Amino acid sequence: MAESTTASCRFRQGPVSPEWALGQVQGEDAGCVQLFLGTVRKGGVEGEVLSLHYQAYDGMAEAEFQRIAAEVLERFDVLRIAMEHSLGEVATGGCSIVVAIAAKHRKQVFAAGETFMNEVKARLPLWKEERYQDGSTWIGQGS
Amino acid sequence: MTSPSKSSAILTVRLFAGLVDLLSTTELKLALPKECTVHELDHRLRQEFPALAKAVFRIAVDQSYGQAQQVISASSEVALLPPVSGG
Repeated sequence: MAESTTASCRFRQGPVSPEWALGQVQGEDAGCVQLFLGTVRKGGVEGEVLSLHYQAYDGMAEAEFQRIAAEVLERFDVLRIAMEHSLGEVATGGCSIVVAIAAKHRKQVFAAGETFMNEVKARLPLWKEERYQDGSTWIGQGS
Repeated sequence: MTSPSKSSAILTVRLFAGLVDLLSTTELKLALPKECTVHELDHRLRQEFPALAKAVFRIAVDQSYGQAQQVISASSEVALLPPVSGG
């Protein structure tokens, strides 16, 4: 069980699940844990989505996560942040990102979670391609 | 690709996502002066590769987002990052 301020991330092929991220942040010093799951929705930019395909800039993705997490840990006084993100194929309905944040109080964790996800969406060097029955499209920032 | 000269070095530039489709390759080779700035590299890439002329991307240097006046050498790890879409 984690007991100090930490930021952990890992990238996995295919869909992800909450267990690993939760395990990274839970501890007796925390009064709450916020768990965010991002899932693959059917409605896409150019039609009905069958799956998303994720690609990361390996090395920089981990480094940028650490920079974002360090900023959030300092700004919001939360205890721990963990993120697990998919690479490769995730079918509609599957989970592509899990973020767990532990804090002493809920007010901190709500604010931290929103900021963390906004920064991930804007900065993490990771891309997704929507795949349809008859083609595919790379998705730009903010999706 | 520009031919290297005595005062130049070959820089490797990694590509990702839609830029790979656009240029049909995962990396570019570019002859540059021994050092140049991120801003100068951006200009050169758009000149040398017409497909990049109006492309939207940021330049990463050594696994961080590059600043316009940051100096790049041939040994730098350089990548072009199209708009990101994680999550």
